[in-house]
Amino acid sequence: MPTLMRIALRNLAENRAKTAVMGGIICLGVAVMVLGFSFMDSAAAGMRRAFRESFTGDVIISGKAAGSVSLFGVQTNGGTEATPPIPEYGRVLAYARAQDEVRSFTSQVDGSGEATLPDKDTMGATALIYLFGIEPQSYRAMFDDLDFISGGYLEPGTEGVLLSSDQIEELKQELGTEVKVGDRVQIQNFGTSIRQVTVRGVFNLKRKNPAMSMVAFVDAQTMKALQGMTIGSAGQATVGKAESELLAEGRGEADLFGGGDLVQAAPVGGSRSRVRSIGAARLPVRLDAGAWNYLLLKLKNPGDATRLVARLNDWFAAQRIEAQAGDWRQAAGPFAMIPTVIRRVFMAAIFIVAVVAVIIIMNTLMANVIERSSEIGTMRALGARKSFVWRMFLTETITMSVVFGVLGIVIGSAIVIALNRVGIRSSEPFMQVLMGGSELRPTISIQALGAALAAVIVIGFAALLYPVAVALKVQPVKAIQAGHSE
Amino acid sequence: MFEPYHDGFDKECAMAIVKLKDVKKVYPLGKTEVSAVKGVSFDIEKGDFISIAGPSGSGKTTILNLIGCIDTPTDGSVEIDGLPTGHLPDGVITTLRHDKLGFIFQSFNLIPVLDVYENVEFPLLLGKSTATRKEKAEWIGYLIREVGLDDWREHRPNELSGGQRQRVAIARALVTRPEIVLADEPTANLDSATGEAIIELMKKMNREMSTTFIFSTHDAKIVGIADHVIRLRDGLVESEERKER
Repeated sequence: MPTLMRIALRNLAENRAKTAVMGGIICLGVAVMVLGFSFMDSAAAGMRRAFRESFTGDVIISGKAAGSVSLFGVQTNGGTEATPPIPEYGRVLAYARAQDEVRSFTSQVDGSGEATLPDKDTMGATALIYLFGIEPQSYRAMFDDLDFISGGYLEPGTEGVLLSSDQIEELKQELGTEVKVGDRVQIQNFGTSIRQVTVRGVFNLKRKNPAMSMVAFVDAQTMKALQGMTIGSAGQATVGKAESELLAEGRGEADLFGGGDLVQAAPVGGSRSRVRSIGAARLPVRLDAGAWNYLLLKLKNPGDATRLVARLNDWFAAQRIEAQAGDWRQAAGPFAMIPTVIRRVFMAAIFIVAVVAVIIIMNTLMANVIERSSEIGTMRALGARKSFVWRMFLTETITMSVVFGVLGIVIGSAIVIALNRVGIRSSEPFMQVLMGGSELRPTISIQALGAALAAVIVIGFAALLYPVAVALKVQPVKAIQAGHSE
Repeated sequence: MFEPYHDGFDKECAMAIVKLKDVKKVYPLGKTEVSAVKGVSFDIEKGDFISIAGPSGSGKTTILNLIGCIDTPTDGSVEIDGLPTGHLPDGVITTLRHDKLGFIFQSFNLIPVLDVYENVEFPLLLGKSTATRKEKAEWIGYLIREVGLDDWREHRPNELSGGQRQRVAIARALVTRPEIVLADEPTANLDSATGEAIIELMKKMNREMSTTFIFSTHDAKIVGIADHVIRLRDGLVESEERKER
């Protein structure tokens, strides 16, 4: 064994108390890092899987917007705005699906509105509802994540809405009545569009994801109608009897809004019946079949997403198409930021702990240097260069860091393995979003192990700098002044 | 007798290996200064077994520090083997100490985590040598046998008596075959019988290896063993006497 290593190991063994203090800090720090990084990496992977495989796919294409586009709209400084439709959808779709990396695709329209039950007395109450307008066949082929409690999937060409059990509960609380499969739900856009759809199914998400459990799935045609994605009149409008009566009333604004007194509400029953009449009718406009907010792509290899996103954006720019592509994080919007934010908070905490560890280890090493100044002086007198002293302390510190770092890795890994076996469960919605489901089985991240070991070596090195600078100033004369008598 | 390997030093005899010319050393002490050495001049020849004697505070340790290149004179010059050591850079001084000087300390100063063999071996690990590992091992073994510690080679310093520790220090001082071995009060922490035995051992090594030994002491009995005695008092040479070798 090389002399420096021999001296290092024996000094570490001789100074058990100091080694225990420094080693304990290193070991604990590494174990916490391994545990923390493994948890975060596993949670991030779980969230990625939950979103990628259930809602976002690998690549999202949307109309270009000033803010950050996600499946939940455009995030701007002023709040959330509607995502612009994809221009030249046909060309965009043709180009996107022709890419080798693409395995499947689906198109989607989104929006939100106020829901009520036209066939039940809800006392005028409404509930906010967020809607994904989907093409059932392609959507189901791409994201088969709905586990039906009652009813079933939307049939192609049929209007209808699918509600999650969480939404059923929410609607019950908001509207005061139970919603079941077969009930009619009336949805009013925040603009003027109103549509009625039948509840076709009630589902639970296979991968529990509170972020998505409040999203309802509606047929794309209904969603487009609500969003006003039309291409004008398809011919002469045929006005039914109910519509004729409403139009014939010829009421002015004052009549419609209660004679100018905004506080005085119009009779609930009458108003609802008129709205239902409009909603039940087929509007005499043709929906724009090529109007979609999103085109979602699933890739054969998710790792190709970055490259494909870049290629698509280059193509949009070259073709002067006001569209943009992004990865699953962009599609997931603010939810994808949660692991990043938590990771940053954890990193900040680790940094603070690391600074404290450096100070403690540095103090202990300083005490060590002071105690061993006679030994250092003797070595220098015997012909040891400053570089030898530097290497000696470096070897001791790195040896200690590696030994206790590896011990910390073993302990941290053992805890991760144990947690993997038992699983971490939470019923808290936030934790479920974070973990990508109601249960997380963390796995050891090799990157985390490497990062932890590298961090501990850096900490050891940083803690060594000042003490070793002091050690290098020890003169050989210190050996003669020394009182120790080994 | 075992022929130790030669590390390339020129071992000419009968010439001054150490020269001190009007050496002065002043130490700051708070706002005042203390003159430890006030103008000392003397020569030491190769192969000398010399004692620098004097009472406490006479400047013995300061003189040894200056010869050992672990301190620099305030004025005057110190030459080791013809080389003035006053203003050499740290690397050159370190090499000089390693190659030409051996040290025996009053407090032994063995490295606590190394055993007897490893302590003796230690200086060889600090410099370059043409000797093979086997040659080095034989040389270390020879020195350990010479100082009478063959049965203790795997013991750590804390398992040895004071006399044994100083024997290890002697072997360590000689392992690089230095031209000069400096010993600062090597018997101060030993009982008188052990102290005498240590000085006798040093003298034996001096004869066998022609190494110059310079040791400081205030023990008159020990001084008597030396061939060449320089007596100091108050930082000045009080007397110098040589015996026939």
